[in-house]
Amino acid sequence: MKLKQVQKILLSMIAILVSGSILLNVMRIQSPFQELADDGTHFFSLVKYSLLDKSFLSIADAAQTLSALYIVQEENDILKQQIDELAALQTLIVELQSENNQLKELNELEQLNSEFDYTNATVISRSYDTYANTIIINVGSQDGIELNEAVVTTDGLIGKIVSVNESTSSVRLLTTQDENNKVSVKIAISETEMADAILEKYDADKQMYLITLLSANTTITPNMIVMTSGMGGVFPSGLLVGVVDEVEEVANALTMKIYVKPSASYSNLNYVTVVSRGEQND
Amino acid sequence: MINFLFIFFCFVLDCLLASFFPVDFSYQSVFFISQFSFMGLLLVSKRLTVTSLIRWAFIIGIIQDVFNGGHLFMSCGMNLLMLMLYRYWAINLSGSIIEEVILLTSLVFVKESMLFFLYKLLGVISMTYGTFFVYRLFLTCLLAPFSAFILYIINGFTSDWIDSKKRYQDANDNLFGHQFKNK
Repeated sequence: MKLKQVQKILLSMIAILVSGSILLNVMRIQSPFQELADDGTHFFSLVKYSLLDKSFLSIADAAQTLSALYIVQEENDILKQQIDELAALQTLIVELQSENNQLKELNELEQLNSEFDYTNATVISRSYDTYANTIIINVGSQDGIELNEAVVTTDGLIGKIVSVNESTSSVRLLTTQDENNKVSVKIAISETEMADAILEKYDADKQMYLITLLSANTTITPNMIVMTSGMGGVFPSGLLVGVVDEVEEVANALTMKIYVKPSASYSNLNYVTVVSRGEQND
Repeated sequence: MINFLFIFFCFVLDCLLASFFPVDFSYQSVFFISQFSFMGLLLVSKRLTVTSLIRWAFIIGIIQDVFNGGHLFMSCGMNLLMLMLYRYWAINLSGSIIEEVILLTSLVFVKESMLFFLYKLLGVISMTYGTFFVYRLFLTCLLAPFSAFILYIINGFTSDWIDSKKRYQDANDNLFGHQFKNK
C-alpha cells in the first residue's frame, strides 16, 4: 500500500520517538520527558482512582464479602434466615470491618516500633501492564513523605519511595528485577549474632529474593529471619524482609547465594505504611 | 466520537477487571491482565483511515504509557505495530466472530511476548519465558477469547449504530437539487 506524505511523516515521527526511547533505555539514560510522564502518571492515577477504581474496589470487596457470606450461610443453617434479611447491611459491615482490621494491624505495628515515624496510605494505582513493579499511594510531600523512605505492609518490607508529588508518591517494589534496587539486610543467626548481606534482586523464577552474604565463614541455615540492616542509609534497620529458604554455595567464590522467601504478600496491595527513620536519624 | 466512547468503555472494563483480578507482583500466583482497551483499539481500527489509525495508536499509546508509568513511547510503537498487523491480517479474513476472536487472542499473545522480549533486551526483567508464560500469559490468553467475544458483539452494535446514522444522513442529503427526506 502506498502511503501519503502526511502518513509517512507521522510514521517517521513515531519511529524516531520509539527508537529514541529504546536507545535511552538501553543506555540507561533517563528520557527528558520521563519527569513529565511521572507527574502525568501521578495525576491520572489519582483521577482514575477517585472516579473509577475506588468504586470498583468497593464492588470487588463487596463481592468477596458476599462469597464469604455464602460459605458462612451454608455452615450456619440456623442463622440463614437472619443473614438473608441483613445481607445488604452485613455486606457493608464486613467490608468496613475488613478495612478496619487492616488499619488496626498497621496501628499495632506503629505501637511496636515507636522509634520510626509511620504514615498509613492507600494504594491508588497498580501498574499491571508494565514490568516496572511500581505502585502509587495517596500520600505525598504534604504528608511529610520523602524520597527513599521504606514502605511496608503488616507482613514486612515491600519497597521504597522513588518519586514524591504533593499528594501522591510512587513506590518501587522489591519484586522489581532491576539490579540497581539493592537493599542492605542482615540475617539473624542467633539472638545476638547477625550477618550482613545485600538483597541483590527478586528472582521471579524462584519467587524469592536473592541475597549475597558479605561476611565469609558464616553458617546460614533455612528459616533464619532476614531484616533490613539500615547500613545502606536508605531504610531504617529492623524491618522484616523474609525468611531464608535455600542456601546455595557458589564455586570459587567467597560469598554464597541465599534465597529468601518474602514475608510480605504482593498479590493484593491495598493499604501500606511509609516508614521514615524518625528519631533514628537524630 | 463513538470510537472514542467505545475505547473509553473498554478502558473502564479494564479498570473494573483489574479490581477483581489483583496482580501478583511477586509471581507467586497466576494472574490475569485484562486486554479490553487493546482489543477495542484493534476493532475500532477497521473503521479508521491509515492517518487516523497512526494518530490513534500514538495518542492511546501515550495515555497507556502515562497511566502505567512504564517506558515512555513504548506502547505507541507496540500499538502501531499491532494495528498494522491486525489491519493487514484482517483483510485476508472474512471477519466472522470465530476468526476475529482467534485473531485478537493471537495478537494479545504476540504483543505480550514481544513486550517480554523487549524488556528482557533492555534488562528490565530477568525472568525466563517459562515463568512469564505460566504466571502472566497463560490466564491472560485463556480469558482473552471471552473478552474478544464480548467486544466483538458490542462493536457490532456500535457499527450498526454508525451505519444507521450514516444511512439517515445519506437519506437527508441534497443530491442534485433533490431533497430525499427520511420518512
